[in-house]
Amino acid sequence: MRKNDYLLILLIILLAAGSHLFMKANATNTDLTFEIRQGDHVVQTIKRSALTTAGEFTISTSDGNVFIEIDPAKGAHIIDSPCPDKLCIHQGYINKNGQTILCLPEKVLVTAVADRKDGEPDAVLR
Amino acid sequence: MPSYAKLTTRELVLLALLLAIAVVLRLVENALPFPIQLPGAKLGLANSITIITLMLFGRAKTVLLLTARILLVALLITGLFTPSFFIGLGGAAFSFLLMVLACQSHLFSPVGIGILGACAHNCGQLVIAMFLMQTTALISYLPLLLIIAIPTGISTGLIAKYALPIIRQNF
Repeated sequence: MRKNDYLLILLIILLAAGSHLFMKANATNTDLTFEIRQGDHVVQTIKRSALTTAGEFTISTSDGNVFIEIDPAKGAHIIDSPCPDKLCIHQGYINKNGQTILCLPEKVLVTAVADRKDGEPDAVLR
Repeated sequence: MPSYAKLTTRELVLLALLLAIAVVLRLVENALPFPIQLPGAKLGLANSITIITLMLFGRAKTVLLLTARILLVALLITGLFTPSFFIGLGGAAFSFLLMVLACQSHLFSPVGIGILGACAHNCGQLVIAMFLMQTTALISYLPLLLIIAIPTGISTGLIAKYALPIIRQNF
């Protein structure tokens, strides 16, 4: 290994840490809305505050049904999917702003987004 | 392209062997459990074959090998023109471009080229996935995918580094 290789590793670690910290700074777990997408469109949005007990949501795909459970305390996770790799199930719960679960073979995506309060600006540039 | 026409029998045989190894590595890797369960996170052992080919034969013949590998892997595992196929294609194309640049700049050893290729592969996959799903939400996978690329890149780079002199000696 050469010196440049070590510099490259350092650069990648810095990039990863930087992007992680940036996303963490934006993450809140107060008011969340879970967005379920299939392909390139949103099929369902569920406000966490609207749920009192865990709710199950079913997305039907060409291979079968993807079952998503949303628990007001623990967050959203995928219970079952007809995909071959089951990576989406292994990802477990998401409960912070910006987190996602992707089931690529079935093109199903669950995203947690922070609720925006009425009258609050979209973005503030300082 | 003229460079393909100049393929000697010796080169053809070696390329075919490398292609077979790359496809088998991909199949074996699919059967191995990977500690981090994340879409797009793989060992990427087949990438070591790409590095070896790039250093032995140069760009044009590596494109030939990569195209054949992607089509064969698609037929065997993911299926042609499925989302996973396009994502794999995007990752392979992007990592190939960066590895060619890294190779020609002579700044990195095979290990560095491997790391750069693994990173580019993961980033390329992510970009295609974001495009297919029409969402930027997937960016939350970026930090982990970048970190994973370091050990997987080092391992593919080391394989290439130790295999290269042996192949050069024997062919």
